[in-house]
Amino acid sequence: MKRGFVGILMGNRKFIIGFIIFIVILMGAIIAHQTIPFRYSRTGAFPPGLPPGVENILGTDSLGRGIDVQLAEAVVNSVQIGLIAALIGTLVGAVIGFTSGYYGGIIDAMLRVLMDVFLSIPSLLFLILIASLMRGVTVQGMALIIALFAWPSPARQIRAQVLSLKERAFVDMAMLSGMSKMEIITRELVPHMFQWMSANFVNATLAAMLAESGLSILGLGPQNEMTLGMMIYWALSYAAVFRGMWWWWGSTVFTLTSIFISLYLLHLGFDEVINPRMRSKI
Amino acid sequence: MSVQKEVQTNILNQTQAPLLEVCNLTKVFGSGLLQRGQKVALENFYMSIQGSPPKIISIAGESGSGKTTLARIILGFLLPTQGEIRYQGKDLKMMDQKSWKIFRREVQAVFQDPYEVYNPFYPIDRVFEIVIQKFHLAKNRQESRRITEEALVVVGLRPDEILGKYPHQLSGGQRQRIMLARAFLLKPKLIIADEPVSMIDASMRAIILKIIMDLKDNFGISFLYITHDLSTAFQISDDIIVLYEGLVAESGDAEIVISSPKHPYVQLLVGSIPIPDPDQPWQGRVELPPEEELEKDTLRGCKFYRRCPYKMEICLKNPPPLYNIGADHLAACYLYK
Amino acid sequence: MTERKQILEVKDLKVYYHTDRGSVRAVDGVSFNVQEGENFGIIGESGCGKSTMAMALLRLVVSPGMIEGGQIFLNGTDILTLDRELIRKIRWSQISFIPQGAMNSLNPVMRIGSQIADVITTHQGYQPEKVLRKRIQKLLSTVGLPHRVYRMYPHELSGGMKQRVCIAMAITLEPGIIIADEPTSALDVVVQRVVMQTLLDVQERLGAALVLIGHDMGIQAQVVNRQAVMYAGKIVEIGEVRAMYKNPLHPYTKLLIKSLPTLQLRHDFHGIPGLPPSLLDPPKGCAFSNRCPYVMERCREAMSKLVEIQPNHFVACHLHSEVIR
Repeated sequence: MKRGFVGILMGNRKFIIGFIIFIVILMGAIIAHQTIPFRYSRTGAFPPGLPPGVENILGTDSLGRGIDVQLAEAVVNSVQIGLIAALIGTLVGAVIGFTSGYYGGIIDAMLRVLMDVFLSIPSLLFLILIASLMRGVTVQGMALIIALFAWPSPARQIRAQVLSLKERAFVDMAMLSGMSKMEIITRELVPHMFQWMSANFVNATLAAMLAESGLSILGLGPQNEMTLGMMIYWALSYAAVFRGMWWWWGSTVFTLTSIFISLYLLHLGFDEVINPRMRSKI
Repeated sequence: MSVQKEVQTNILNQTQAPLLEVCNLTKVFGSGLLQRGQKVALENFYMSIQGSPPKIISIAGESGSGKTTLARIILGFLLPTQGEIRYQGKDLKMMDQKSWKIFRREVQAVFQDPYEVYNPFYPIDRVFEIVIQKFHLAKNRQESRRITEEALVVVGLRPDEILGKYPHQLSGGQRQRIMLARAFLLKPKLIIADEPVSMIDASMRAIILKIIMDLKDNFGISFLYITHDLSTAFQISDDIIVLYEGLVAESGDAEIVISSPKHPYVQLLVGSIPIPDPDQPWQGRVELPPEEELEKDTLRGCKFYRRCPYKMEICLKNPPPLYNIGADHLAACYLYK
Repeated sequence: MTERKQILEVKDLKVYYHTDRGSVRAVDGVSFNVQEGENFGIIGESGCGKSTMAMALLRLVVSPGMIEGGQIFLNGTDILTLDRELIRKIRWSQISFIPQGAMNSLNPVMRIGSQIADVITTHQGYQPEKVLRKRIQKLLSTVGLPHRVYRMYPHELSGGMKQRVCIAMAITLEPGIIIADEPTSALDVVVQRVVMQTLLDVQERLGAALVLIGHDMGIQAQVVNRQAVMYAGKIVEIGEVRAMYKNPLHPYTKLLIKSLPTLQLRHDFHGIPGLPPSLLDPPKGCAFSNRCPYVMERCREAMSKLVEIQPNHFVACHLHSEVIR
């Protein structure tokens, strides 16, 4: 069944387009990051404020650093934050959701309180609070902070699904066969949620990258490393808009938008594949 | 099998504990605070299955009779409100790991929906692999494969047509037979079959019922056959217990109870079976006044009072106890006082 | 035998489902007719196409299903040629439907009265509430339900009562023919009897024809006068129900009747081994040839047409067409 799922995904146009755009941007950034010499990103490597030209494809910033180098690093870091936060959020959410839903009782009651608390806290405000309290965030640090608010929603939704799944006859059969509760969760229930969790992972990545840009633009991002949000922050700090240095903020915004579009297309592709199939399965 | 009110005499007379004994089982659903929200699914139910010689015992009843609740409690999926289930003398609630493992192996089940019992993500082989692994039924892969194929042959399936397939690639009849094969693999002493043929096509039912009889005759497996269909119960059961609203209405030898029922409810039930013969139509009319369907059950006496053509004053006072009306034939009706 | 007018005539109806694996021939050339006021049964097991055909009779077939061919004459008019507006008018007023699981498709958040009122106002326009209420309450009593059900919600009613509401909805506009698809499948034996009683009562009162579709031969034997047996998308036998049970002609019918559990003989098991063919790629000859104990070479080549072997008793089987020849 899993083979079939991936096969069908690959056939979905939106999924493929989104996938290609995302991979192209990411691969491009990784390759650029590896090939362009490090010194191009140091202050004064080039004359400041240069518009795009032969030597610097994307021009330079106010400190004479190549935009292209910075962008490459920014993409790699931002995507890293997005993926790590989404991965932690989805996995932790899954563990809590499955446990809470299947075990029930006191465990469920306690975990539900935890989920509800985190869901009702305005995440952006708290992220701002936490980020501002921490001195010197790293890229990994940002990922962890964002992950803190990425897990409750999948946990809740997985729990809801598990509540109805565990009443089904195949779970009775598993119990009769002597499977333990843990085994039932991992072997019987997880496959039912796999498709949903994959789709959720893509959404979580999108949300995490959005959160990162938001925080960074506010000045709460990693100061010593470059992310897409930080690039906009720096561009704003140096009044790039005012001074007409469109290549600086423009290239960043364009890249950011492209990544969001690609992730959204992936999400739509997932939706199209999962939903009509679910309808016909019943 | 015998159904009696007095538990003690039966047990003391045994030299060996019965295979399965259900003692004073009561199950109430709903909140305990108000009397209103509660539903009494089973009330003071007693049953004892000897196990040897193997027998097929039917629990027959309509929806709301408590038969499915009974099955789930016996299998350990639900806890009783009162009373206990004893397997080979041991109370299920008090069993240790070892005894519980034995119970799980020796008491198996087949359920109603031949599709829902499978996890659609795996091929059907898995249902065999799991039990072989969990109950250590084979030493290696070859043996595992061999006993699986043997089990499939016992239920009349060809292993090369079945193994490796996914549930949706097989028919309902095949899937149900696979489940019987799986239960058989464990060499159980008792199989709880909860409406095993009600979702199967008519032409396939006879085949599956025959398999159940063969499993009893050739392998000594007893069955608790739960159904609402008295015609199939008539075909295969040795004994029958008819439930009505959580209480036993009539019980005894299946052939006798169904061909000449004594309890008014069972008479109504048997008379309402649509016989596939245009020359044997339903006799008379049945009225089911909806007013009584809408009213909550506020009767203190016999639950069948409102619909009973023989109702008497005594029926309103208390629910009737089970009266002995023949050899191991019991009916809960004041007509037989 | 009095010759009654035909209210429904189905000619060579074909309904296929187009999937990416091919076309499933759910209904593959079905023909039969129903007289006014008659009780006609269609019996078949799961997957034989009977429910698809029920939907086709009301032109309720949705993609990926499509009516590929044939004609359905209702009161002399081929409804397959009518445009959508006309069909909407005809549905419920000339031909009504009690679909499978109808009682579970009652709107849970609307009172029973409003749901029945909807059927009326959609077809007959607006009517004042008082008028509607009287009319609906009278309708409810014809199906044996008390007036207060008008104000109740579906979940407050039992299964049998809900099904009787569905029967009430089907007769609201006094159609000439009612199609009922397994109207008692989820009901208990006693309730089943009461619901069938009700259905027969209203049918008689209206003088409407009833097409009862199902898989339960017991119910069919109790209720219908004439019956068609469906197998793998085709009709294999049609005839009067008494003749069919006493002397079934088609091997499938014969084996089907034999497989039914009776209350006379115990330990009597005669199932039909094998499986019906896939409707994606139906075999060249007779669809029952792989399971038929009387199969001949001819059967694998081509399927026989429906031939009248005895008065009013048709069968599509080479065994019998040979005898005639």
